[in-house]
Amino acid sequence: MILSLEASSVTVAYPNGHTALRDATFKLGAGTIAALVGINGSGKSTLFKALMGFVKPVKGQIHIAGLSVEQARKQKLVAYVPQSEEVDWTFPVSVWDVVMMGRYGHMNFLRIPSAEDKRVVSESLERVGMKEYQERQIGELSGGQKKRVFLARALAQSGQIILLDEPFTGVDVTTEEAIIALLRTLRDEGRIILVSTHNLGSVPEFCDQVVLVNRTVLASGPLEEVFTEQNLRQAFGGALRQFHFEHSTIQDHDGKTVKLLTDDERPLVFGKDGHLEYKDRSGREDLVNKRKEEVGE
Amino acid sequence: MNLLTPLEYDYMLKAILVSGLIGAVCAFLSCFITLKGWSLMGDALSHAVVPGVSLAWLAGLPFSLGAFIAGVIAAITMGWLKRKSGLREDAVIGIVFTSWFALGLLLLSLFPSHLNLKTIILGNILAISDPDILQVVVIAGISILVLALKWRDLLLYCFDEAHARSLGMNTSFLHFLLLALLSATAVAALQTVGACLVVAMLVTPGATAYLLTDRFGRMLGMATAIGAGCSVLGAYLSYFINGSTGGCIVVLQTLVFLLALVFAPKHGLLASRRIRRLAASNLA
Amino acid sequence: MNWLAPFQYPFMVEALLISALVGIVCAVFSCYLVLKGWSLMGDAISHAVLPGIVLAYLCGLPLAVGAFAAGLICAMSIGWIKSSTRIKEDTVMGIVFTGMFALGLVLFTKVQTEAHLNHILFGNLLGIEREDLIQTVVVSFLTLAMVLILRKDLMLFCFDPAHARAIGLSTVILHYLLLALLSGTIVASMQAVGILLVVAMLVTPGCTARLLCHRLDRMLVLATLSSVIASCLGVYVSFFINGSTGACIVLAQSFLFALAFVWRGRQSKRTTALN
Repeated sequence: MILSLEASSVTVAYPNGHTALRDATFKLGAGTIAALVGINGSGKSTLFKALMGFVKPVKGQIHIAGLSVEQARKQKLVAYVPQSEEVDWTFPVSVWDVVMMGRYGHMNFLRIPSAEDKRVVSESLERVGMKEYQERQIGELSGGQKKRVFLARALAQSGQIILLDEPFTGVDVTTEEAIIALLRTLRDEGRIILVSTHNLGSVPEFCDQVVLVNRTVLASGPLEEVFTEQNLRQAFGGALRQFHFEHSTIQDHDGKTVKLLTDDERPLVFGKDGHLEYKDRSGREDLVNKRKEEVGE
Repeated sequence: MNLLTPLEYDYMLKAILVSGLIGAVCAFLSCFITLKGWSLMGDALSHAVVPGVSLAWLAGLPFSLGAFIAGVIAAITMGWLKRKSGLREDAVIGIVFTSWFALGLLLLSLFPSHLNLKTIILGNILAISDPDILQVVVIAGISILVLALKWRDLLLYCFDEAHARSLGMNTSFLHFLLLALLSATAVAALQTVGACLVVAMLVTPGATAYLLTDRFGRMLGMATAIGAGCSVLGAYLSYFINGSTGGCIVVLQTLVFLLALVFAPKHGLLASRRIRRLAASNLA
Repeated sequence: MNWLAPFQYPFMVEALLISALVGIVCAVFSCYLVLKGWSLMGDAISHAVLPGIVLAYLCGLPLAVGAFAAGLICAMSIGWIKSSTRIKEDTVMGIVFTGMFALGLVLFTKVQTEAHLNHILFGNLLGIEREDLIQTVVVSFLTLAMVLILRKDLMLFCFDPAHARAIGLSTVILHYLLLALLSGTIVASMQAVGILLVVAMLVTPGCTARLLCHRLDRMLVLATLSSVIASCLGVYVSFFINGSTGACIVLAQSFLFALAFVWRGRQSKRTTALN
């Protein structure tokens, strides 16, 4: 089985006549972390629902590893990590119980866990570093830990396509980095990870593909090609606030460092000619070299 | 059969007029209740007033006073318990009103009052006594007066509590006022339709009007007309079918609601089907 | 006064056993109802069974069948009206159940049934007929068995329906199954406490247990325990004070809830003092 996720001219209309998504087309291959970027009401969650088969497109098709959504669901290929606000954190279940829910689809009618199920759950908990918390009630965890528990559930489900809805809201920057590291290892195993977010700054940090939506898919493809100022402006319209430093006071002797403060979300920074700026050179040596060649330094 | 026969009887005339009055007051209030999402609070309070009836009888007070106080205490208990227990609101409402109601039933089974159990639960407007009519009229008058004076404040409170507070309004007072009005109308409606069906008078006309219009002012007018009309007609019809008056009134209100549900010009089922078909043809 | 007097009457022993059985079914179910946030759905459906009872009597069917069907119709029309209009769910519930209850009342006054209206409304635990007894026992065991077999699926459905769908469970089936079980539970407990107070049996034990523990398994056990104690206590007390049995059971439930509430308040005060 070759993993892929393919949507071709998907149109979704709700019973009240509202067309939430029109002619959405994109394709993702195995081993990618893709960002689904758009403003609220742009159809991000509708697209998620369509991928999970909760709404039927009135037009167009979705193929998951060559299968229909229905068949993919039977094979438990698609796992979903809900937004924190959607979960009732006072619900009387432990971390172990939640991760075990990922195995339900694999169990018999009575949902009695086998030794194999227990092994998978325990392994998934270890991978996300939550093994020692397995007896806790889910409400007793921090924001980042909660996210990791639900990621463990997706792993226990052996989901090959993992959908994450706004994973970084209510999570501090250190935990955010830990989650990103985990997502990277999942990508390297060949899974497809689709992250819905409106937090632009974090996208270049960990995504390699981008799907831009605004009632349709405006653009999709590799980060460098799609995540451009012009595309983003089209996707966000007036909702994007920009601060342009026309004649910035930065000098060579500043070591070319700038400090940007923002209250919550990571800022997205473009260089002078519209290329993406990263906050750290390490790991991006090829990019630095490429830019050096371009300017002929 | 003579269509005017019911009007020849004194008790029928009284029943029809009192039902109409109560129907109008409840319907007026129902616009606020449905918009605020307090429908089940109405149900809960109408059950919670029962022990008050019994205790007031034992203490020799007018039944409406006792019932009103019981309703208000129940409402305060619900608010307090919700804050302290962290349980869901619906669960808290469920616990408190059933306890209160059970207490009322127990008291009534131990100490029968002038209103028997069946009257309180199912209503019996045909046998309403003159002092009780007086109580109902006084409650209705006060409720109408308060609503007429404060309906704009209450509307703002229902629509946007935070904004009302930012304007310097006392929202806890408005909250309490709405609860008190709810209790008072529940008490007034107790004898017409009974504790079990009061919630229909407090919800159905408002919801029907909400389907028919998008303007609050018009919604108030329509709801009141529907509430009063159904009550008068229901009481009148109950003479002919010789059935429960409260039941007739509520069945009638539900029928009007169903008509609105299907045929309402903009929000009805037929209209939304038309809109969907239009949208589908636009897509294709 | 002889404390053992109630046990000398066979009807009292029978009432104690039945109320305990109904208490168990309702308690197990109440955990799911409270977690799903459907407490007031129980109230709505319990009122809406009335026309079903009258019509079942007219057709000569067992009353439980009519009640069950009416409960399902109520639940389904609430779901349908809610999804096709802009009216809030709680309002729709209020309209549908009062409409059905009122219809039941009008039908009732037109049709002279054997079933006494008071017994349907308030229960008739002490004078329960053999036929009704068998009905209650059968429905109770069926509902209880279904809930216990499906308890994990139901938990998942209450906790995270989106995940349930993602792993291939049908949430539509689970939704209506839960509603059907709710109707079944109400039919089973109708004889004991009556349709007006069933909702207490369906909400209070779950909330009591919820206050005391953080795991569903323990919650199920505690809810059952508190419900059985309350049911027996209620029946026992009602014998001595000669008051309405259903009301006594419900008040005993509320009493246990109040105890749990106070106990938890002290617990949390102690932990904050320790910290």
